[in-house]
Amino acid sequence: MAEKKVIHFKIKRQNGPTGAPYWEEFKMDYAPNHNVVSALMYLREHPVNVDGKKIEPVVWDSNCMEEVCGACSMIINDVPRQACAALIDDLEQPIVLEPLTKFPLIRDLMVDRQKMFDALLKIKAWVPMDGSWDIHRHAPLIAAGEQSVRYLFSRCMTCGCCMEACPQFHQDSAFIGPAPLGQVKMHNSHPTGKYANEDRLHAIMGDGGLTDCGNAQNCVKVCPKDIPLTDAIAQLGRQTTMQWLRDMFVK
Amino acid sequence: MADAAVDPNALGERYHFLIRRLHSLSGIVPVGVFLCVHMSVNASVLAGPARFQFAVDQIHKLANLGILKPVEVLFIFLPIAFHAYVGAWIWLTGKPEIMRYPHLDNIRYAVQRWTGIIAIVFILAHLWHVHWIIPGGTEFDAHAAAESAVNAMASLWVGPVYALGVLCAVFHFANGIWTFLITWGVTIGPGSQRRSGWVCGIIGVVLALMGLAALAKFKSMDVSALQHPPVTATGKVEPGAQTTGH
Repeated sequence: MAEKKVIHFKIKRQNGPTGAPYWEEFKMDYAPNHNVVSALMYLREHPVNVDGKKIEPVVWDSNCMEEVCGACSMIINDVPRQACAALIDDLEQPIVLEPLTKFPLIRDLMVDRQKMFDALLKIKAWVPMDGSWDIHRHAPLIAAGEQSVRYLFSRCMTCGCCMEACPQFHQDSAFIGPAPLGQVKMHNSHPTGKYANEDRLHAIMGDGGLTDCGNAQNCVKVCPKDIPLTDAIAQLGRQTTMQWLRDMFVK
Repeated sequence: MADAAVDPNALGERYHFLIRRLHSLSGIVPVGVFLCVHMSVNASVLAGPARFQFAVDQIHKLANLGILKPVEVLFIFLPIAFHAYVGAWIWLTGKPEIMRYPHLDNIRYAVQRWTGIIAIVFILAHLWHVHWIIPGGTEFDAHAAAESAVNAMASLWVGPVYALGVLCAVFHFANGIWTFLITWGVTIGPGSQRRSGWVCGIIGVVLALMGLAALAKFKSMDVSALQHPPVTATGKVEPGAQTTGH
């Protein structure tokens, strides 16, 4: 009789933010159409490692299951990506799962991506609205071509994969990272969003700002949403150059 | 309107952008321009020692005016020192993972840092070897340019060390032009960055060939046969004066 088909996981675990990491292996019966999150759910129901020992279930973060929320980012077979969109049938086994390394670890595969959300506040990643009164005007029009470019950036789900792959972003660096820079570019190109252009550009012209990018261009290659992050970074290079000249000669 | 979380008067906030942009600019002007001039002057030896002497004489007209050393310090040494100091700090802020992300761009990112370090170590060795600013080496004699250079290059270690140093400096410069264009927002999309990549690649290959060919020429020249043919004001060697051995 042929050997029973299994799904084999090798998972890097850690019991808390300060614990020592260790590897644990799991084997579960093969079933078609599993993704990494659904397989982890099965392991949560059957928390037994490869030695047959009952263990505390693996902790991870996930939410939408359709690659739009960004919560289930982890390193799967050496690639930072969304666990819900990683289909078991497409992966080489044993499937190696590791937590993102650039964000503070909470437990096992779960990390704290707060740094990215703080960065979105810092760069004012929103469009200022008009007041609570009627301004008797329609929303400003955006050309179709510009809309399609902005749409790419609007798909950012702050999953942190680009941040994970960036050699300039890590726990000891002040660099704001590629994802928030993409949002600066998007909001600066909005007809009313551009009223805050100067604030956004100044926010990325200090320590840890745009200039700390090293052009390794890993961000654009790992982005699960194909966001042209390096275009945004170069575009912001132009915008900050102009802002710098304005600061120097106009003010 | 400043962000409340950011202290706009903190030194890092006020001058960070300026320092990083000056670092980017200084790599092209004046350091990169100097590298091109230096490689061109070196390569002039391929047209014979007289042509090389003529090129060196053009530079040393500044010495006759008494401003060669200030010009060297102001436009060469200080910019290189600034570029190297800020560059070393940039190097320390990065954590390359080329095994996990073995893309060409990422490898180029890492190599840019390694070549910068090798280049600055080489430049210090080169200054000790042939220049007044670090005493102890074979001082380059501008009045017997080719002979002096051939003597300096005679040691066995010079070949590999200079070849490595020149290649690292040239790669660092060529790749530096590519990132300079991105940093200042000249090349934005992947298409423009690919095209500028070709241009920078060609600049790098040409400079590397110039540097290596000049090095090979200095290594292979027969110094005993070298004389100093009189050179006219236009740089033309007077007929019959060319007595170089190869």
